[in-house]
Amino acid sequence: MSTNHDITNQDSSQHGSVASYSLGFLLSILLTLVPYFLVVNHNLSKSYLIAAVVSAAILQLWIQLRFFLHLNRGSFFSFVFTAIIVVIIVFGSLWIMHDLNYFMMDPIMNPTHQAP
Amino acid sequence: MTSTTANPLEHSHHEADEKTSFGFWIYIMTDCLLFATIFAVYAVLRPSTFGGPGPKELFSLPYVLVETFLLLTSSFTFGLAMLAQRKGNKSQLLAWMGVTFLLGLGFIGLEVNEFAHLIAEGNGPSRNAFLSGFFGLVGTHGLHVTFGLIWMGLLMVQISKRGVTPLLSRKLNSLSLFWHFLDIIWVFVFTFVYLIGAL
Repeated sequence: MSTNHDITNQDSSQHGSVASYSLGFLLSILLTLVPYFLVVNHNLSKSYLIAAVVSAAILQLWIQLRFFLHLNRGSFFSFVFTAIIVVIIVFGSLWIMHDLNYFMMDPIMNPTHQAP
Repeated sequence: MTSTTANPLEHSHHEADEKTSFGFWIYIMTDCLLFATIFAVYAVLRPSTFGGPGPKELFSLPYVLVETFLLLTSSFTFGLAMLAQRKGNKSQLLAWMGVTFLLGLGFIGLEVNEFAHLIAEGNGPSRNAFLSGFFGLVGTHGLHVTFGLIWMGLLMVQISKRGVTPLLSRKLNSLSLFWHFLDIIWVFVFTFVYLIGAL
């Protein structure tokens, strides 16, 4: 297995080997256990925990793309495009719905929000 | 492995492989968008429990960890199956596919069991918006895995009958993309639904 990302080096980047699959598998197990025990032990504050767990998931995504899915150039660009759309859909929906919630909120239920 | 572009027949196979795998990849990307919308729906509906229990009370993390390991391991064994296919080792390919199939079946079994328990305790999808979102998201992933299993079973029958023909290895390649993709979706379900839900 090589760390060479050269596109012409198709064999190792496209097909993988027992070593690269095993490495990917071990890393993905690790990236599952670490956030799991962080959450179960609950030592950090909630916002730190969320940040740690989400970064583990994103790292895991990268590991899986790198070691299992073997992205090549064409699929990489379509992946980046999809990722941008996914972020717009998810964060856009949350943003809009949160705003709507805020403006529709009953002032009696939420005394801090003064009705105009 | 050396490239054998000298043989024109081999070359056209290779080109067809590339086209199929790119086309299937585009399908997977659209499936990604489907999951993105369902994740967004879940995230929006997540606080609307209508006085019912939230994810912290409903889900058991060790149980979900076992599910996660089953799926992660099945992704790894499918990788080993693909390596066996490249070596042209049919019996090894079928053996690893069989292991992958059983692990996937175990995952689906655990998930169906989890759903059955939730519904039996009155926490079915019709109880509140949060549970509708949960069953929608996790159920869609489970359906994908189920169809992946059906596809895998059919491919195993075809391979055992006809051997690893170029057509079958193209199908196998698409299935491997599909299977690894489902693994990635599950990582996000595990993170956003179960881990963050338990906080």
